[in-house]
Amino acid sequence: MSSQRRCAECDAVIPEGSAEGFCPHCLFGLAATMVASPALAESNPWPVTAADPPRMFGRYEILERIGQGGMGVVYKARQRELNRTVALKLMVSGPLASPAEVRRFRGEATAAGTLQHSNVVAIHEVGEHEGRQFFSMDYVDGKSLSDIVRRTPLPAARAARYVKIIAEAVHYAHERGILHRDLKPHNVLIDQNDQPRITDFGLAKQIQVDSDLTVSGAVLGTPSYMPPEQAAGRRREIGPASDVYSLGAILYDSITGRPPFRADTPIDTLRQVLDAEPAPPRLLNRKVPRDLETICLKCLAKEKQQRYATARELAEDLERFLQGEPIRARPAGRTERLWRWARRKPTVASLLSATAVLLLLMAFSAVLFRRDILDNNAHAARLAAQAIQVELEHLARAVEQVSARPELLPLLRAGQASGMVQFLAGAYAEYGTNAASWLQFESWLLLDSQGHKLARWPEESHLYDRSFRDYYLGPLRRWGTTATNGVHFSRVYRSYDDGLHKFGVSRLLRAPDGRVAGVIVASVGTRSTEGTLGLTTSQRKTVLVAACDTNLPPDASGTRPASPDFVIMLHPAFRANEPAVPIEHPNLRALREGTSAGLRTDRDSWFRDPVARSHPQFLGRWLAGFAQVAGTPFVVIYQTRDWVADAVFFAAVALALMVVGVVGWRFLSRHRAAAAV
Amino acid sequence: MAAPGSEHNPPSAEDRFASTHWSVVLAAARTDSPEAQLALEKLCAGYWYPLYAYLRRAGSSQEEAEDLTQEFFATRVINKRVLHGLDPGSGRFRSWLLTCLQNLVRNERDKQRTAKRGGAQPHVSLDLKDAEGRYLAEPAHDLTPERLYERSWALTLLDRALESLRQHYLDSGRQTLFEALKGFLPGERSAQPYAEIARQLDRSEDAVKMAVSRLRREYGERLVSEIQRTVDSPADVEAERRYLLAALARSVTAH
Repeated sequence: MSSQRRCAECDAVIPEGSAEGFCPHCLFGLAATMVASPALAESNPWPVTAADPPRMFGRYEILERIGQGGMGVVYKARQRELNRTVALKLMVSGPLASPAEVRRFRGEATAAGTLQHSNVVAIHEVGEHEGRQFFSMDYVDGKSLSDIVRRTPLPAARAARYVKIIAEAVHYAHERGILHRDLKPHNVLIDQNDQPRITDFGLAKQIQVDSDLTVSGAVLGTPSYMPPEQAAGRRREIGPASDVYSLGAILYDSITGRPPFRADTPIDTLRQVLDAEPAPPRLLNRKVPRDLETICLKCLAKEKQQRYATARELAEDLERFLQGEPIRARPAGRTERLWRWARRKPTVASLLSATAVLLLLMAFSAVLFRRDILDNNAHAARLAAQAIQVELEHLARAVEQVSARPELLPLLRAGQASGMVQFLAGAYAEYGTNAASWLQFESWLLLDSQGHKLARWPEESHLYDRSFRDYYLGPLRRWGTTATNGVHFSRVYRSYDDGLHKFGVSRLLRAPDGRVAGVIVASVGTRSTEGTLGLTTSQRKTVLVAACDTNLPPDASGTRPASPDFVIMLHPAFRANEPAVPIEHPNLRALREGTSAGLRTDRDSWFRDPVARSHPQFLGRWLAGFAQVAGTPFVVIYQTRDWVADAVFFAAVALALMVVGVVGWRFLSRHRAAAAV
Repeated sequence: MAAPGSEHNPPSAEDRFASTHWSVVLAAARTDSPEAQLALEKLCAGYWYPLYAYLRRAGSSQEEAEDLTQEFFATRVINKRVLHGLDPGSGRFRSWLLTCLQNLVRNERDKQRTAKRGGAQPHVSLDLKDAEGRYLAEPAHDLTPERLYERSWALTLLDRALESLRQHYLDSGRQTLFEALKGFLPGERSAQPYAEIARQLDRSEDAVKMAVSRLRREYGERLVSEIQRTVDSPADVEAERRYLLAALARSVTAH
């Protein structure tokens, strides 16, 4: 059984069970030649009863059948007395034709018969013979445009030339009150001289005669080339611009190799004709010149008013294109296409625009609402900064009191280290625990006028040079100022002892003669954040930021250690004795050089918390207010969750998902409907 | 001009719908047109073998497949249940018919086929007795049931076009001519030389060549019209033709 038989013609394997042992490929090939002929592809789905034509028909000798249209079969025939070859169209129903059909058939032929144009196939005779209606016309020896194009686009210039000539002929017919109404590549014959000729005025209709015969509820014509007004059955709107549309469709077909609309079923094609915009020809064939595409799409506009008003205007624009002159047609802009779409789909368009207005209103109120929240946060930050200032003033007063003790200057003058240490230990014992709840004095320090350490409590053996520290330099700068009685809050430095960030509260010590005797410094560290800056929940928090003392001496290898400009000193995320987190923010930049400049702006609507890098619970967008603690290098940030932006974001995501879902659902349901059968 | 009366007899239902798309027939049949219903029955019955082959390949035993095929035509087609069931959608007669059958099979499995079958149901004369013989001649390689269905469908189409052409020649008394020339259908290389045929038929070689070209054209026409009935629009004929050709090619190369 497995011995394979091969076809003598095409060498394909002939499968078992094929009829008569014939090669199915070759048999199917016979059908291919039939499909290729437009006569069958276009044939009416209802049967044609005339089987074999009579050999003689009146004065005509029938030579061969060459085609079949909506109502008639076309034969090549010889008109004996004139000895000329003609095309003879016989009405299919023969003697059974109803009076209405006869009237329509005659009407067509009479209408077409009045046209005398070299690019219109001329009608010679209209008549009736043995009860069969017929008419004879020029026999055109050539191919139809659809045979020529057949999926391979024509060169742009050739297509433009054909359509220009056809458009002129159509305009000639329009001037005589005749519409073609079924222009398509099948109805354009290209003769031996490469001249296009329009045939089959099978649906042509006198513009003045508004007969019901031609439409009678059913949509006639080939949907792929049919203008939307005809597809929708809006008979009153059919006019010269309808033929202009079909001319555009022919042009489209010629330059792209496919009609503007083509779907699996005629109904779907009709739907596309009504609703869809054709794919730009250049998308299908990149060789199409932009101007020709513009001309083509202008013809295919859904609105009649957007097309060329007459076929002549189309012909003229095509001529301009062929001559390389600028064309009149302008490509439809984005707004114009949107407007046209809205005109076609008023319900959807008004729903969409209502939604858009609503969204805009929501967005607008969201903006206002966020601004209000930002204002509140900036205000809260200022209040928090004032509270902190009060606490800092306690520290300042302590340092001021200690520095004013009468025994201090004599100790300095005597240079008695043990006495100085004792003095500092006393201050430490007195104020060590008295400081604000979240700040505490960690050590006391006496420096000489050059910034060298004289004494420290708690004691340490190193003899550091502190002359670079801001707590030494700051009071010198403040010389003579009365603010905080000369007490200086230094920039934050990283302690060599424990690596934690601290700041110094320092004051200049002056001898009675006014010379600098030294500097007393109380170093302050943060203890814990708990219960510190008040109001802190998962939705809102207060943060203390400090400018850093970046003026660090080079280390042993001679390189200056890098330091961040700002660190977060206090944050709900921190526990006691945790290293501070660096922060960079444009609002802080003005503070970098000196504390006096103040903040440039005091709010940020897209704040991101740097602490979130190590504590993910602070991820997300915040609305932040900034306030400087007056006279100090400290800044308070009061931040709340930006749930408005989050809501807008999620609404947008939900909307996008909905759109994707609807589009996907429509696609799937169409797909499923197609697959269901 | 000759107009023999026989050619003007009212056409039979089959003829009247001979070149009508199946979906149009289906729509007409749904409107209670008896002749359209008859036409639909005949159209369905013409494709019983691909359905049988599908069932067999899908795992039914011989009796089961015979029963189901028979039942499909009896309960679905003749009792007009297909008329009110599935919509033609945008598809092919081929796919529609198979889906109808699959629905029946699914229902049958659900019902566990209680004893109700047979009885008073109308009987269709499907020539099931040589079905199994044909099925056993099918290639034994691993074609899926769907592929086998498409393959048998393609061959059935070709067969139907050939039978219709044979009938046409028979009706016009040119049976001998048909039998002598049919070998030329695939092409001239598969047949005897023209001269030999000309001698047998006592005609000139040119006359034989003309007759052959006419026969080939007529076959093509009939095949197109046969395909046209199973698709939705004339524009689909070519696509369906290529699809079936590809289905055949697959079934051969699947060895």
